[in-house]
Amino acid sequence: MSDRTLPARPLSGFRLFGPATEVRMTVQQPATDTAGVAQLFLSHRTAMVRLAVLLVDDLHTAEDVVQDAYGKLYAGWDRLRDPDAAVGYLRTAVVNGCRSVLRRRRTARLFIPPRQVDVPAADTGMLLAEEHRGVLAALKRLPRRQREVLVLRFWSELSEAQIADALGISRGTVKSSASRGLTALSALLDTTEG
Amino acid sequence: MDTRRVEQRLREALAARADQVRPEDLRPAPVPPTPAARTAHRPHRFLLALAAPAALTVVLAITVGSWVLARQPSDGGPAPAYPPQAAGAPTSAEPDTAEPSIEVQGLPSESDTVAPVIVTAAPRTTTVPGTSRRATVPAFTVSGGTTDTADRIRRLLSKHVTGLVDGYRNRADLRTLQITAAAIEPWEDYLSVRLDTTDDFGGPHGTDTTTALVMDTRTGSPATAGDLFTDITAVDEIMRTALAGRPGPDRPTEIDELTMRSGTGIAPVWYPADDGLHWVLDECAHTPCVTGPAEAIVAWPELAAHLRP
Repeated sequence: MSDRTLPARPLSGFRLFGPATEVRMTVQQPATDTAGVAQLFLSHRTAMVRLAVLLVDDLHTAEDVVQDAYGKLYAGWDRLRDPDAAVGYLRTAVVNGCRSVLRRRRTARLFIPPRQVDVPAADTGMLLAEEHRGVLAALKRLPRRQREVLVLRFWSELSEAQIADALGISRGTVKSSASRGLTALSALLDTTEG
Repeated sequence: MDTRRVEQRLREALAARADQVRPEDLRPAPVPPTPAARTAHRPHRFLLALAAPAALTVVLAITVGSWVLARQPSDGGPAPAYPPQAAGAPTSAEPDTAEPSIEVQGLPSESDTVAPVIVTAAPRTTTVPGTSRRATVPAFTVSGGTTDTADRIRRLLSKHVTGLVDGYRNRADLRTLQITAAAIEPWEDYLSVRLDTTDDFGGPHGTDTTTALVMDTRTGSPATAGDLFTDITAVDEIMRTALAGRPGPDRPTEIDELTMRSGTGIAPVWYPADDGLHWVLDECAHTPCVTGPAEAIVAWPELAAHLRP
């Protein structure tokens, strides 16, 4: 493996949060790349789709987001110095992709207001327990950042520092978003469940 | 409710939802190749194994697509929602007394014997489906071009307006809806129709949104950015810079994600016109609302290097 360090700059076609100087990249040999790519794909794809489902609540969209995130990551793979950091980059790309999807939905809603009929998602054949549905419905009503922080904290089990890195926000913001999110969630559940 | 109890319930709910996604439920997807793998010209055995079913899928899709197209009428489009003589206006529409608001003559087609496409728009009223509200919509009249081309353009316009109105179906709280043809702009072999929509649901102010339809007057088909430009990425950057440099507030944080390339990023409303390429961005749709819609226009000479011959 070559240790030639490239100037710090974001991955091509891959938007990173936080200061660009934190990104370090080197050139790797192709043989290592191919194996690493396949390994990363096979070992993390399901988890990334699950994360995306929790953020966009739609399996097919989640799959598309994740595939796109892998594509973007691999496009800059030869400049990735630390393969161990690839999962972090991937997670950030998935969160960003989910944000884009939600923005596009919001834009679409400006043109086409949502249908009044509540159609269940195609992947919810296996029904959730009533109490889980209540919690997820309340979660969907939270502001985007609080929702993202809570998902990364309580499903991905990330630390505050990891969440801050993934979302490009400070640890203090992570802490306050989690606190406010939990408070709001509690209030919503109290309201809906009496 | 106790915070620990909320955390516990949240953990359980997220886990339950995530567990609904099983690996066997995921669509088969190939491992995206790295740049190095792409240039090595030595496909990995794993990729080769995935290539065969993918190729079969493409062949099947083309076959089925051809069969479906062959069964459709020669114009290739769906049945018109409205009578062809006045695209965009429902049969029950009552014409306003106003004269046609816009009349634009498109540029001639390649054949000199074909009359140039002419599109006119006049305001009509129609009922919003599922409500008692009346909406003002443009009714388009298309003439010139070949019969097929004019029909296709008429159907595209009809479908677009119908879709906009249908988006308000069953919205009992709708108070007023007005869709106007803000511009009908010919440029080269293309014709752009910009529609401005204003709705009012009783809030402090109505909501304005813009859509645009770009059509190829030679074929009557919708045009994509790839039809106009050789390098969409370069044009995107020029337009983003123009949009960011417009007078007003700070550069929107998400502006870097705007692209005319379909299926990626955030799509701005774009259309070519005589004075240049237009980008309209409803900032309230993408970023915290600071102003109304922003528009950038870049003259053609600045984009000349990226135009398709």
